[in-house]
Amino acid sequence: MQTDVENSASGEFILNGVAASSGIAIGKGYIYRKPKPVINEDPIDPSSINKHLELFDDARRVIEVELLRLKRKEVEDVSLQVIDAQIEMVNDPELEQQVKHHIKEQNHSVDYAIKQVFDSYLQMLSQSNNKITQERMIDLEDVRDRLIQVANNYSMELDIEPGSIVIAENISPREVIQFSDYNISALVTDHGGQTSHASILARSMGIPSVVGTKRTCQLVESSSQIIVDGNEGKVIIDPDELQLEKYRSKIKDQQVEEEKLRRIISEPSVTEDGTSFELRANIEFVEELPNVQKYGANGIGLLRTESIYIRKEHFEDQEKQIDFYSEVLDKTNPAPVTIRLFDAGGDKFFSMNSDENNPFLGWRGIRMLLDERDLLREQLRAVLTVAGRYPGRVKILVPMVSVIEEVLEVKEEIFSIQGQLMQQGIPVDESIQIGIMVEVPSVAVQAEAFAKQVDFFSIGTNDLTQYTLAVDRGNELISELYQEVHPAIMELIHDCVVAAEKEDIGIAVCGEIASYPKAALCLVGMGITDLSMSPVSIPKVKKLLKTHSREEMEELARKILSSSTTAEVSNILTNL
Amino acid sequence: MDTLGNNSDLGLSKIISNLMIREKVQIVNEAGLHARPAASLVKIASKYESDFFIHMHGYRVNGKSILGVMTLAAEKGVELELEVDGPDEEEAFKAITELIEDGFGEE
Repeated sequence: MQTDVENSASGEFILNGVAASSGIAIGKGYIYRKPKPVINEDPIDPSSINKHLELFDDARRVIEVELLRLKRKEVEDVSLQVIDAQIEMVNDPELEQQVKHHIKEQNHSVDYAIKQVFDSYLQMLSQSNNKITQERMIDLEDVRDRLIQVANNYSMELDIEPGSIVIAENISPREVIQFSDYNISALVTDHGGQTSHASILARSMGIPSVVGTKRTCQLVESSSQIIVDGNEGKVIIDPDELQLEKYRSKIKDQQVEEEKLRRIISEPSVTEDGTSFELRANIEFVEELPNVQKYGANGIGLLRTESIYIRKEHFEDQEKQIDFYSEVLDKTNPAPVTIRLFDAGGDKFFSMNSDENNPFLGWRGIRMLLDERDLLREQLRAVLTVAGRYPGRVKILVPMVSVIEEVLEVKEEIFSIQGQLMQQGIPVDESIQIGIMVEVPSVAVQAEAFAKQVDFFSIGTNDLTQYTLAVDRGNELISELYQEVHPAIMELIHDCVVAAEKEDIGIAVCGEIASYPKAALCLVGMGITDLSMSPVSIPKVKKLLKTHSREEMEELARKILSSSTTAEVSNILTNL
Repeated sequence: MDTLGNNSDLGLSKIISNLMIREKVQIVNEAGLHARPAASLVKIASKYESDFFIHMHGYRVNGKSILGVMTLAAEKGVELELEVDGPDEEEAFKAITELIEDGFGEE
């Protein structure tokens, strides 16, 4: 039986975890510990007051989003309320006013100001004899420390040598991006899973990664030699010579394989019998753009825009949005870029008024955008301005549509903003394509009616699967029921294809299913030749698509569509 | 002059008292006003435009500040004086007192 830790005679340790991002690396370990808050008590220079005020606002925003994400994963009422209380603390108006006062009037650094203000509250609480006070103080300290951490992190330099293997208990998406700047060769975390945001980022940046190893941080010492096997989910600490030899040759094989894939990248995207297809990239950060080129993606099939808010930029700041979109378009010239409108989850990103029992069935995507018109208009103005500068290249994708009225309303907004822009003499792309995400089953069921209203469909199989099979994919009790290649999902996709062909509109898939090479064969067989995925997945998908004929793929699709159980589908795919 | 001055003072305080609500309310839930009830209180109060302050044992804290409300450490049986002032003070006061008197929905 496999245990979490294997210990061999030669003194090497093998830790088993979850393979989160493929690839193998050998390197020196760098143990990353979340920096303990370091407080700078020296008075700051008056010229940096504004910077410190901004750091405070940024830190609050980052932590609010972190808490909201955490909240989405929690199911217990009590923990939800604790998180709610912490969100209230982060947004506390008195806290804001007092911290800013310390910075502005007393020239305190942002960290010192946060510490001072929190400590005065903690001091007051400590005078109470109430038993629950203890609990409150821990909550406060937690928020205080994270605020200081985040405020400090932005200016923090790490001492990571290129090629290092970073080992951490847990890391945030922001930290993955930070590490990638140091050219690390792999990532190992003790917590986290395959679908955690950090793992998604590691995959899309091509950094081999193993997560959920539980005890690496305890067992490893900085600068020990480490092998990370992101294909098998193994971490080998202090490997012996035999093991090293084995992995060196695996890396060589990998390089040969990569070389082959690189050759594939430059070859045309056509099936064995000459049907052309398009493989595009799903991205969220500009840091991923080099990969778009490296893996030969034909533009961006899904540009997520939520991070504009999460990262330092103000989402409300239209100029910064325009810069972001423009950078993506500049670096993908002349390929198309599909920008998905802000797809906030069912939590209260912008309003403090909503409390939802069931956020996945709640106020998210276009539902939220139509209520928060200013936000929608701001984003549309930015997108449409950029579209006018790069005519024919920008497409707009509307998330979480469930009824036709939503499409009509968004289109009306788009046309009216284009009108305003033209009046101001700003060029627009009058034939800009407007599409919708197909992720709510009602859209697939009514595909024909929707197809009459839009220029393209983009099928988001992750949510479509969740909603169709009524399975929360984060719920371990039912994770086996979460099957993207379920016959019911395939049938819904097929319905969309039929409607798209009838109304002569575009159809693409941007869900994870597109990155499974065999599933991709089936999608092309069904008539979807426009697939978007994490850039690193492109070569392997392309390789399989190039070595099969359209006819074979159609045959496969027919078989899958006529099966009735997941087992049958898996069987067909396994024996391919 | 004296009378006039007194009179105008009286008039002013009358106007002030007309312009805001000040009422007492008792904490009834077993655990008192700890973190989670404080969060619900602040969340409700923040929905309204009116300013909201809580007076207790000579302290006055901003009722829209969870940190302030928590430092009161108000236990069961404690009497709070609520001060609500603004265009929607009636509705705000009603919503806030209902929440407190309902024991924040806790046992």
